[in-house]
Amino acid sequence: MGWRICPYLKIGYDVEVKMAIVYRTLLSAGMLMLFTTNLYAAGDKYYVQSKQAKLYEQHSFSSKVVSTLKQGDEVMVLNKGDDWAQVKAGKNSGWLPLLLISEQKPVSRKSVLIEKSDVIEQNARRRASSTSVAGAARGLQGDDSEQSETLKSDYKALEKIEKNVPSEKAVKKFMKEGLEKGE
Amino acid sequence: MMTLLLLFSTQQLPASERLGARARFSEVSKTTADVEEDVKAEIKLGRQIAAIILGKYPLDEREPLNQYVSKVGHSLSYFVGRRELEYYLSVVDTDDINAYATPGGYIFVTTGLLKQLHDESELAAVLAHEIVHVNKRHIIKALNVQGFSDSGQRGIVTFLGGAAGSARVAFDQAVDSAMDVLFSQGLHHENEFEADRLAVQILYQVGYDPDALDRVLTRLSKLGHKHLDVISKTHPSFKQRLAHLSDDEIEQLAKQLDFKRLKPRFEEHTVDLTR
Repeated sequence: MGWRICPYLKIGYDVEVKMAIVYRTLLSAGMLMLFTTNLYAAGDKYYVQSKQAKLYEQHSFSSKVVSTLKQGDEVMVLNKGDDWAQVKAGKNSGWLPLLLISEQKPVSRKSVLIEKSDVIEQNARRRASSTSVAGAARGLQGDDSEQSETLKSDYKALEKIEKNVPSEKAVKKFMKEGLEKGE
Repeated sequence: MMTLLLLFSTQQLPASERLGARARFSEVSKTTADVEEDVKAEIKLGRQIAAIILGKYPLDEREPLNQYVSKVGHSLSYFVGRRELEYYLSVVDTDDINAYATPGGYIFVTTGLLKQLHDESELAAVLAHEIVHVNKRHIIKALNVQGFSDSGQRGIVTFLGGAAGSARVAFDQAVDSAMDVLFSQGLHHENEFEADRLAVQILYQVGYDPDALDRVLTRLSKLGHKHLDVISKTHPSFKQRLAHLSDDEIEQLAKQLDFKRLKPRFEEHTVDLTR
């Protein structure tokens, strides 16, 4: 009984015991609160990345669809495991694939556009900075002759593929023709 | 007591999630501006790698073929794409049987691989696998492990100032390292198994036959083809991949529901490829 909570206050021992009980109760309650909030991670906020995301009753594609969420919708993640997440979305709760949601608020494509001149010098020929890369390139050429250590870049082709992006309308039409009507 | 509390707060996640959770905790504390800078850096890196791949394997000149592959890929990214990225899908002309994804969303499939596919669901399976690599930032993470950043993903932002000096050197080294991963070392096997597993999920989501990836891997495993050199070096064996994929639930569901293979449309668009 050598301990004192308030060694500097001149209060009776029975008061100290009561204070200790109160202190311990508060601490346990606090721990319990922290524990339970951590169990649910205060419902981690996630955002739907996908254009559409079906919410399932169970973590299985064969279970009933509860609702369909759309891109940008906020969900509270309650539980995670095996590539699926249990979430609360508005009034509904259910499961959806983790692949379809992200912790980061969606960032728009426009805000990450970079200047092409940032990246590319038109005639750049880059030196391989490690022999393993040059070696890999040599191996792929399929012949044993001496190869230059420079790696060529084709920026014209790069610009071409960056122009080859179908419109959302064209993609929807393509999906409709194929996945809805095709075999 | 406080240690116990901290232990409790991390044990809510299953073990498989904890590594990802560590990365995500650092991401949660980022501002939107931070994320934008990271994505810009990722795209910058990916573009340079894409340009080098195009220097190694020429872009296939057939526009209808490229547009077809691009539309199949966008049918997938419509559902599972990262919203901040544009996905670029194209065909490169080489007998090597493989597909490649760079950071930032540049995806390539070789004519060598296309010739081995039988229908559109199989093409979708291949592209879905690559989309998962992009979505999960597997190459960026591989580069981080190799020490190109000081802490997690934040470090990649140093590449943005890459005009000269040490930042430029770091950028060039990252590009070389990424090429090494793509053509020589490969990603961590767990990343490949994850890409396979989630590719099947994507096929489900979109409506393609989820058995398609299994068919592709089975067919390639029987080839014994010299043009499988790169894919064999950089990926787990086909046997291992098929073992990780086997799932009775998928096989049962594939029989019950109306999933598409779209063989006629695939054959229509690939008729030019000499087999």
